[in-house]
Amino acid sequence: MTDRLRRRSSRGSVAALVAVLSLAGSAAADAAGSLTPKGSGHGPAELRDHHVTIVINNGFAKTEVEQTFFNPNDVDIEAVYAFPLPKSASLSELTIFAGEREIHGEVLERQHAVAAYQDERSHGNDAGLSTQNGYQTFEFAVSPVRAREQVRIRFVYYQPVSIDAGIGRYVYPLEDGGTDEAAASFWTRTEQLNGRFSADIELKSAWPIADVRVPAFGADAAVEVLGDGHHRVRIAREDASLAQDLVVYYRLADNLPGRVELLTYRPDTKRPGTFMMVVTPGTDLQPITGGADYVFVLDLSGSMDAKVQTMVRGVIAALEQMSPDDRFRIVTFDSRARQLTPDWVAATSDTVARLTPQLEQLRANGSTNLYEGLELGLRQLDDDRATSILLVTDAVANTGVVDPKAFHELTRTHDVRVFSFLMGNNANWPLMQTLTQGSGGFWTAVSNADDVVGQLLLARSKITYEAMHDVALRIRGVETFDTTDEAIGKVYRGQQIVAFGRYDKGGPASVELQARMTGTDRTYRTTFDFPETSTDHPEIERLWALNRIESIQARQLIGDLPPTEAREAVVALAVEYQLVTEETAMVALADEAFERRGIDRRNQRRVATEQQAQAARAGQAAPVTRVDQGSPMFQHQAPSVSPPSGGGSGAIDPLTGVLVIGSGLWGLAERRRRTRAAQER
Amino acid sequence: MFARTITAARRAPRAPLLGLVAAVVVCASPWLTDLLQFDRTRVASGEWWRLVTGHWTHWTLDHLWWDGAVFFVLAAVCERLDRTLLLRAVVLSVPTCSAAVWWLAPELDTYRGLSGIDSALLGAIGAKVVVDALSNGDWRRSVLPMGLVLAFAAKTACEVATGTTIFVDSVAAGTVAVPVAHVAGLLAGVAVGLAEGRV
Repeated sequence: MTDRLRRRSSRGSVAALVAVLSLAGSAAADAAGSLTPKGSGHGPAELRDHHVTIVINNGFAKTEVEQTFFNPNDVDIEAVYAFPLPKSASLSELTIFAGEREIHGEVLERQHAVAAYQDERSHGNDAGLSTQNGYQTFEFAVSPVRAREQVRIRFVYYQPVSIDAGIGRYVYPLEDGGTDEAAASFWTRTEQLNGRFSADIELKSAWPIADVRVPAFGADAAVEVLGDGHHRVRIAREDASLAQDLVVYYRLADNLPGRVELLTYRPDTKRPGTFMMVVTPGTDLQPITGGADYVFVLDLSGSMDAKVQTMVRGVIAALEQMSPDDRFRIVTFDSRARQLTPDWVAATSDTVARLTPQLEQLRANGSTNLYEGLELGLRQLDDDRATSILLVTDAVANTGVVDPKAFHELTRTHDVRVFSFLMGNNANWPLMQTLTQGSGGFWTAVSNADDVVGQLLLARSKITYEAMHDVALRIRGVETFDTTDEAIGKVYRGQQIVAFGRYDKGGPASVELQARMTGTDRTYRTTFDFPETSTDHPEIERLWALNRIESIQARQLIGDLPPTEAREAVVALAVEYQLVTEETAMVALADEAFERRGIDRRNQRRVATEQQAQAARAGQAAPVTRVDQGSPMFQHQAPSVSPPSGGGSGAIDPLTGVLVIGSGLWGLAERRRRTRAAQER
Repeated sequence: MFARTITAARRAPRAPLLGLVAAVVVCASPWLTDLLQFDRTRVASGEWWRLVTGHWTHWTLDHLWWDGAVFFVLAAVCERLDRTLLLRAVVLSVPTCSAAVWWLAPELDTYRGLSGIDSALLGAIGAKVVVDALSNGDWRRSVLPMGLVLAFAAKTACEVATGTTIFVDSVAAGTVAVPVAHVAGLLAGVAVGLAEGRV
């Protein structure tokens, strides 16, 4: 960390907490890997090879995973593989290569897919199944893996990748967060690769990429610059463990404009088009000054055991960086909540020193009564001071009130912002989303493989600046429907707004972003055309459908939608757009089995279209997707993480310097010559 | 001999030298640099001196070298022309540049560098020489300063319009050049030079 980053601001304290927390879970041991039922009597399927190909092209990423299993037993077995569920990932393809045969997956309603898989398996036919286990994992089952033979599986998922303060962050999750106790008690996990782990990451951006970092892989990651906005990273490790996430950061060039970008897909004019609009606000958000109140709500339940001591060090570091004008309280919770500080405490060095020994004695134990912890944290609020709740947890609420509706109501009815730092993969992000959105805060996932400084800068750039309030994005002129909610709520400095939707007909559209900043209402406008037809990005349809599904599930979570209605809507979307969800599953069968069962090959057709578009894009630079060049929506540049870290400079470039100095010296000499000439006269 | 030494000392550009030494001393001390740099959050919490002192702080030696060298030469020329011109250009440009960074570059937390003042000195000298030359009917003397000021103004305007810098990428990792400070400095300097020229 440079001196420039070591600023003793209270908002910096939150960032410091994040930084330390990102190291916290290093003791976690579980990982992605093959699963064998405990007591089955068989040796586990060995992982022989794991290769991942990632293409990040402007606004979304395609992740293609291929891995080989070997059955060391003398009998045929079923191989099961669990993989931490990436956020907003639409699992779209499953292919199994067994000997000469290759079978592909189709998404069906879950019980139909499971029944088809079990039936084919019982007849000894090649079959595969992919299911989603809540918010925690994708599970893949392959049967049979013949005695002492190999089987290779391949799966593909898409996910949006947004830019935060000029930084793109992609995570290929491998480390298991250890939050699924039921699974842990049933399976024996094998995470060690008896072979090679390799990754090939291609970054394509219409904007120049200034830098790429793969922090946890060090010298194993070779970065190749293929162009301004085109980088490739190659990673290879022998006999590696799948216990470490692959986190890739890329930093866009500084001084990029605030902008609107649009990706569309509408193959013909007979059916609606789909769009993904990414708005990168360029606004003059001002820094927050003056004292504020902070409540640290710390999870001390058993699942946090390996992380507690580091969490405590993080809290102490955060307290030490606070301004004496700030006040704080500390609440801890396991099966019960309790206060470490009975009332507000001024963040002076004396109070921090007095509390440090108490903090250092904290230990993790018991279950997770998150609701009681939050409820206690929300007491004694001072209406005259801005209050933030800093919640550190894996959010696996299992004691007391666990209903998401209650959490939503609890934070919604208090005038506080909840910032949550969600530890590890498999953490309960849907609950955290509900909770933070209700308060207008945000949640940040922290991987053990994250870059400490990167996380610090990103959190700091949000909390130290005012936010845009009551943000609403409206599209006029073009008939849009099934869109992301118009009312977006709060947008923090550096955040992008990603909106999905469908449109009936191309043509000129007027897009308006309304927001309240420093008590005044602002409206930003632009106009551009929605294309009549566009075949470049068919994957947008799946991303749109997944966005709709997540929105439906969020409404169900807070009681806005009855479960049966939500389930029907999810199944309809997931089957139509071929997405694995909790209600649907992907079954891989031989072509003749699909035909015999009368299963429509929707996914086969969709995949063919996607692969055709990907082949066309492969040889090209990332397309310019900005649509507001003619009428820029923002006058200011998009914030980036670099200026706050380094700031601005009045800099004289060497050419100007030489010219000015030369002219100045010449002027001085000329003046002396004239003076002498005048004296001589 | 003694008389020549006294004359030389009297003619030494003491004010420019003082300004330059101050920048060098501050650059040599990370503690002083941190204490004096333009820091938005700290200014807002009452550390107002940073609006003035921030111009004498720098990110790197390279940054200091070009900003300092240009400052020294232009300030010496300015002082030789008229010491009040130097004083007025510095006094007006310091708050003007800081205000420009504060209001027009809100994304920046911190700012360092003498170049805003350098721009003001260039503008002040150029404007004064041009006004003096034209009022004396000696238009040829106005060509070089006017050309320099116009070229610098064009380069700065281009940087502001495109949002990118010309000839220089950055002065330190993680920093960005702020052409808006140069615009503010140049305008302040030209205003001082025109006023001085009229006097």
